[in-house]
Amino acid sequence: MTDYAELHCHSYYSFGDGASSPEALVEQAKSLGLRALALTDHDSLAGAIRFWTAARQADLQPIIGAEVTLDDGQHLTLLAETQHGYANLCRLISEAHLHDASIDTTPWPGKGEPSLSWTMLEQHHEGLLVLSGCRQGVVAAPLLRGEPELARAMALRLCDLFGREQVWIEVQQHQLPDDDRLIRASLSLAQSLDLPCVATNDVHYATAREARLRDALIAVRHIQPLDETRRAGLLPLNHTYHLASPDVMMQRFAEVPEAISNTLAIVERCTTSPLSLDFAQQRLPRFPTPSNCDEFTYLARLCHEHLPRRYPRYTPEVLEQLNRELFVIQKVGLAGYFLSVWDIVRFAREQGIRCQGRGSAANSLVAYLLSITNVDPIQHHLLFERFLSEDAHTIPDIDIDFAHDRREEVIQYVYAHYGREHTAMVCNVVTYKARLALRDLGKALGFPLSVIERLSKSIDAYSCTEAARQLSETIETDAPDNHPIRLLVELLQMIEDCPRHLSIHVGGMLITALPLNEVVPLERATMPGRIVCQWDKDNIEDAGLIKIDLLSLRTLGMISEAVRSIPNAPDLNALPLDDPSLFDMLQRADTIGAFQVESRAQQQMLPRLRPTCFEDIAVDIAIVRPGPIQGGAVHPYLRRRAGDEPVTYTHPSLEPVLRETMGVLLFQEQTLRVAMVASGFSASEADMLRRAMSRGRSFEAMAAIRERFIAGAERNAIARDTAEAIWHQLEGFAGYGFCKSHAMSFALIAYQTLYLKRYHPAAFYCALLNAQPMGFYSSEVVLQDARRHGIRLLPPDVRVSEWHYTVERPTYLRMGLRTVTGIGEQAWLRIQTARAERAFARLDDFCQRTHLPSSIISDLIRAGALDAFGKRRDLLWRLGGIEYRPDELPLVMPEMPVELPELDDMEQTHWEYELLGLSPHAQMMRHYRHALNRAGILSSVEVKQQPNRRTVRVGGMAVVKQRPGTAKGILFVSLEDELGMVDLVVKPDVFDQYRSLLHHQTFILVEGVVQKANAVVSVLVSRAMSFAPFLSDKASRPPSEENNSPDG
Amino acid sequence: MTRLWLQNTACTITPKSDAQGQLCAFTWNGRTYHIERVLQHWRVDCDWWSDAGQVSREYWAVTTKADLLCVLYCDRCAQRWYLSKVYD
Repeated sequence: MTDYAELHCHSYYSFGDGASSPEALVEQAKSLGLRALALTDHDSLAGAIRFWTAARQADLQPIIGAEVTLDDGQHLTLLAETQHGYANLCRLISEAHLHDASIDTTPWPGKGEPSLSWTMLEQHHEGLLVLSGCRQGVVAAPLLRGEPELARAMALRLCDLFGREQVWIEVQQHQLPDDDRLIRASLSLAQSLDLPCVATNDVHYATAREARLRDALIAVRHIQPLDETRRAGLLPLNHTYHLASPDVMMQRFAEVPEAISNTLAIVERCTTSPLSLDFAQQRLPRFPTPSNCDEFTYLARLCHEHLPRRYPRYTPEVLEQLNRELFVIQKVGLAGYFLSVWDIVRFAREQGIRCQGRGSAANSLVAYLLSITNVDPIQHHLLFERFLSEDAHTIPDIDIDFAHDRREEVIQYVYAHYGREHTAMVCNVVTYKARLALRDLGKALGFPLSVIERLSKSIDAYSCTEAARQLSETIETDAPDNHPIRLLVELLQMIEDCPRHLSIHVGGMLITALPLNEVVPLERATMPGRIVCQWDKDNIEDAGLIKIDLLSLRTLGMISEAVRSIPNAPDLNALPLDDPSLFDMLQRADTIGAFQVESRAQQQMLPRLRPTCFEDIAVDIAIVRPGPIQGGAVHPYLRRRAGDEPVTYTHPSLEPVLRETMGVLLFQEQTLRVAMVASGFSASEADMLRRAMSRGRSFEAMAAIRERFIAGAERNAIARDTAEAIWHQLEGFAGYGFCKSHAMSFALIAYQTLYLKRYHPAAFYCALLNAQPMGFYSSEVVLQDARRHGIRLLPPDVRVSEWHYTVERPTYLRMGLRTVTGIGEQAWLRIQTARAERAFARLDDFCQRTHLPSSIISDLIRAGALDAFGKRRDLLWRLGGIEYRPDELPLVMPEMPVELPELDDMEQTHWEYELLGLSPHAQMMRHYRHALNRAGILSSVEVKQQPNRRTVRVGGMAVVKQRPGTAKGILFVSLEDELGMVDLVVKPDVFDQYRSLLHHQTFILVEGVVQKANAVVSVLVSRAMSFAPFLSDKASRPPSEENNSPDG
Repeated sequence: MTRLWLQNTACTITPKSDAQGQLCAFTWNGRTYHIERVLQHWRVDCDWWSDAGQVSREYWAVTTKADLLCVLYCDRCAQRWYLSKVYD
């Protein structure tokens, strides 16, 4: 039997060139009986960890390599023979991407193309085996050009540089017209230099089935349709670049059997000194501690020092918990990690940067004592084992939120503290989802943009597979195989989960003891000066490393700003968590602007859940998630909470685990315990299950774990159907659920925002408006809410406005000039500078001293920012009369007396919406109320006064539209008018019937039935109508109702 | 002198293989041509996205014992053989 190892193989991490996942390649290699497989992606090890893991699980020998691109565009295949070779491979790829930017802060215009100089190769070649490459390789390319001497010189250069014993002449047979000639020339060269040859297959996909996807991806990479890509000679001539069996390879190289047997010799070389991708020992540099003190001792000392601050009269329970945690932390060697995170948080606090730990770390008393987190784990009965356990096979990371406007200071501190050689941001692999795939593939297939747009709008799917299913339903059964939509469907089915490019993780920073570019290749991010590593968060974890998530949270920035503007503001982290007035707000769903509890879904939930204590806020945050909804947990929980149904358990053994949530699975911690209790999983196995469920790529793995779970449950005398029901709950929940400590951390921020809204509304709304875009609602909706809470908005005014919103009087907010569309910071600086000299007196004075372009001044007038100097029409008339040359002095401002008609209220509102995105005076719907009343169309308030099941008509502005994946196609619309908001529920059949009105229009008019459940009111829509007749009705509001006061 | 026959005109042929499965002869217009040497062999897979449909062919450039230089191909989709070009 022939033995063969494939040593040149690209996965889909060769972006825009490879078409198969590392797992698919491993699976196919195994089924073909290959001895080993090398992953050699273009200038990348982004797929290395997945490949390494999959191969080892499949008992296939993995070899780590890469096909690097040299400065002249030629390729070279490098394989890591030793650990040192692996480090060199990382260095080389890093340098190819960074272009010797020395990991400094030099800005760059974009990511650029990787390329490697021979000098770099010379510096970092040890421990690497080199194959001469594909047809673009340093030897094959000159041979194909008819330059055998150059090819010989290049081969000799490789020998000089790497050492003769490290070099192989690579030969490939892809049934190309000149393959035989190239192979003969390559073999002849190898013979003349006494170099060994080796056969490879330059694999770009696992099976021939994916060949079309590779063609399409190449076209996408070159941003042109397939036709043009082929004409440009950029597509491979045929579809033979898949994994081949040893027999097929032997057949192709029957005349040079050593080319096949040499693959095994190379495998032998690469496995003599086993490579490891476990970098657990390199997690972090040693934390600098006071003399004669190791990291653990120092950590323990800090914890005890901080204990009295957090617990002035601590109990034995607290001490016991602290000692238990310290024991585990010492055992798993995480003391240095805690110290590093503590140090970062300490820096932030010293700089006045608001921050708070989130996630499972909040289960830890040590984290609480070090002020990494702010939720008391003892008081709230949190579970440390969810964060860390003695037998943990993976190390959890700690996530910290920082005020969004100052997070960069923290990142720069980490760079400075640990050095740029040891620090990089973690990457995020952007994979194809339905719309992006449809757009890219549609362009590759040559679809007109209008068709792509139409198709894109016609699908309602997130996954490519689901999009393919929906599109396939539109294909006539007798459509030919090459029907364009059929081809698109075929490609969509294959492109699911295929990465498109790397981006920066939202906040993950990797810090290692070894120079980072010896652990994982680094590359430039699109953001100037920012460097990312080629591994994502899952890879980092699988490699035994730990990232620290330095996340940006706008709410924390908003809270900071609000607190700054409140005289003698209390310490929000020390608020008593039992203020009844805040729970009253929650029960009334008066939560717009409050963190995590403001969404439309939350506003539906809160009046039903009726939170009465801090823990209820955490439950509320945890329950309004796809997980509990998919797991069928929401309604049972609410009914049980209301006493409408008895508390039951899917199986009696779950009672101790789920008692606190009335038999319903709500927290991730419960997932672990359920798996342990029901199926006998160890804590480590249960955590593995939880992680598999929460990872995006775990669908295949889930099937195997599911079987183990069901089998384990059956062994515990749980009936199969019961076990399946429990599994269904776990599966539906775990993918998106919060752990309890995370929900608690968020609940604390929610509570703080509610406190600000309740007791310091002006500071709250001002900061909230300045932080936009943020949260669930637009500025206009926030403003309407502010009005309902007694806050008045003053229009922008060049005499007094700052750049941002400001609190002008206790209940008045002044709009900042940045709210005026088109006013940039340069214009603001001119206004600010001129105003600092002396106050503006008149329009001409303003023009003369700011020298702003007339178009900007015109916009300022129309937005009301110059109302102090006259009526808007008059000011525009006068501005038009100025001979306006912004750079010349003095301006001539002629007197041009004229009688201009008053600007009507509607026109003024339109101008304000156009330039400010809202009106400081009134909500737009006010203008249509008279006409709507005449037509029998109700306001939001009137709808809420109707009895249940009453058919009504209501109109307003759609401020939020949502079709969540968990809602089975139902569209939810938050409809706002000048009096409030009402929720619309649109079922799929109605949505399909009125799609264009409901999907694309802002002003919406519907007929439906009032639905009342507890204190929640919505309208189940049966019909939608055009709002257009009202929009054109100028006389919709009688003049007598005009109200020109600034406060509406 | 070299003349090019049948350029751009595909003629159906019947291939014959030897015991090893290698192409050794073909029949065209009722006459059998024995292959002396395979000069080149290549494969093309393209245009699967076009209205005309996928092209998937295996080509052989061969010389026959009658001193003809021919280019033959097998349409892999239809599993039919054609004579693509003939030089004398």
